[in-house]
Amino acid sequence: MISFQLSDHQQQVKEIVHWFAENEMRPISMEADRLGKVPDEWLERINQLGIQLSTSSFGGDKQKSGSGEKKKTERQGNRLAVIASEELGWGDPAIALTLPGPGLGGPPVQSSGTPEQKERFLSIFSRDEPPRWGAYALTEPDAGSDVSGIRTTAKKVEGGYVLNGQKIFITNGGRASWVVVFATIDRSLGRAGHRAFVVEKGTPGFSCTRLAHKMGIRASETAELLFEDCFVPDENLLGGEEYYQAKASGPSGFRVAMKTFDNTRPIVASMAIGIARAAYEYTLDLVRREYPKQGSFYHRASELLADAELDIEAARLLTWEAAWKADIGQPNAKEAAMCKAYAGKIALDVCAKCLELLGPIGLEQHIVEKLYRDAKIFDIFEGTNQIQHLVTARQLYEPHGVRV
Amino acid sequence: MAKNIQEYTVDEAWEEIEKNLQADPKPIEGLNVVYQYDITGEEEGTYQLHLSDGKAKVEKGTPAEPDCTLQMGASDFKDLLVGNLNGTAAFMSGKLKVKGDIGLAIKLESLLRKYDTSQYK
Ligand SMILES: Cc1cc2nc3c(=O)[nH]c(=O)nc-3n(C[C@H](O)[C@H](O)[C@H](O)COP(=O)(O)OP(=O)(O)OC[C@H]3O[C@@H](n4cnc5c(N)ncnc54)[C@H](O)[C@@H]3O)c2cc1C
Repeated sequence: MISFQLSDHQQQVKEIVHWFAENEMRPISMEADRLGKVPDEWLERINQLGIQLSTSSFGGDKQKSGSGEKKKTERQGNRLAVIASEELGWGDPAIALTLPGPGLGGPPVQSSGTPEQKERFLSIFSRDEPPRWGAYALTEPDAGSDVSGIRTTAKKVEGGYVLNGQKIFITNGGRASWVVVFATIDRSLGRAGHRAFVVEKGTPGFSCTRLAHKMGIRASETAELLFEDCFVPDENLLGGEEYYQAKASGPSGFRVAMKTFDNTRPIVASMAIGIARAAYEYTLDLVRREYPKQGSFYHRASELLADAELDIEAARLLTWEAAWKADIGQPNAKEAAMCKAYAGKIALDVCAKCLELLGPIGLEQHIVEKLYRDAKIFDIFEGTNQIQHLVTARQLYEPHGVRV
Repeated sequence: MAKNIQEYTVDEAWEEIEKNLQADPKPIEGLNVVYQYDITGEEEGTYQLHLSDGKAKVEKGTPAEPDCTLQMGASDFKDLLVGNLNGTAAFMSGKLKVKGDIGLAIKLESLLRKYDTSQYK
């Protein structure tokens, strides 16, 4: 049951993504951070290579296999995704989040969309077309951790819904071809009133009002979106009417949002691990070359580096377990929350330790300084550290009748 | 010329590659590299594509030490050639295995895309 050996396929994925991170991402990393933007020409070239950020691009779940062989292989999409994401985080987390593809918008469409919606929204990402993005919009000024606070309204009208409200901190929200938007049909219904809509770029009443200027992942677009009497046709209600009507207590928009997290949190965790590893590897190399080989400095450095290595390894094992459980179809909400909480925290700790070891040189236009700024966000999005603890506690104590 | 790539044998497909690369050597100018293809399953065989100074030569077997080796089935190989199969996706899903310099494999894919393959689709 326990094996930490990467299969040939997993090893290959790790190698090619690492190659990409080192040879394509790193050379533009500092410049993209300074510009606050990933250069368009770069994105076009990468898109032509067929490289995309899609959580469903691994492991043959739904491809029409050309040669028709091996139908019944073990699912390993989640494991491949965390292996790849760690390398992407190592390369540059902001650029990783800007790679063309459905991004965080992919999982809800994949898991809750009708066959027609999956085809319509997921087939637009192609290397033969200009680069395109999807996005996921849950957060509002009064709703983030607390999803039940959603105020964006969806009013049923002939043929569709009219959306009104505001979303903030939406990754790729401005450039996205479509955004999965969570809204409520009736606030008094609580979670049961939540619905998810796919709103397409250019829909009248839908606009991007501002891009945030952030401490870290500056090259990743973080947008504010506004919906003013924005009409969305019935066909864009994610999952369709029946999906929500099947059972009165059936899957609400809230469920759609939560189910997504169990797959995406390990991916976010592994990017954080990649950030930590990047800072650690850089610093380890510098200490080897530049530090005196004895004395209290050296001991202090060895201790900090050993701590960093330990943190990174532990975070990776938690993350792999969460991904493995998802692949074999076991509930993994607890593991997904734990790995995200742990990885988000250690990424910050490791970067801080590395900055300490680098001293003043680490502070100016330096990759470790950038990684430190980038790391913080991984402790926030896809659920803050506190929320991951809350989710973990709930999973642990619910069976004992203790409601946290 | 309305023949689909899958109707070619692997040997014939290689002849087409050689012909096309020689007819328009611009994309391969300045390249000095040996790619090896290990075709598995049906039509099993080993081929090498030698690119040097704007010339392309296809060899059977392993006359030279390859810089980069790609391993895949015959049908995937043909789809990959004409762009029906995305190299990155094939790699990620395990249909294509690469040994040696991965960067060269990626370069090869974008190089092949510079040729018009619509007649083979
Ligand atoms: C760069 C970036 C990109 C983002 N991308 C997206 C995106 O693509 N789509 C999207 O929908 N959102 C996105 N977000 C939003 C992100 O998911 C939220 O910021 C996050 O979930 C926190 O919500 P909030 O901002 O409302 O903070 P709040 O919920 O107001 O939290 C403030 C503080 O209170 C704590 N807290 C809240 N509730 C509890 C509790 N019950 N117990 C203990 N502590 C609690 C939190 O941990 C936090 O420390 C992004 C954010 C950033 C920074």
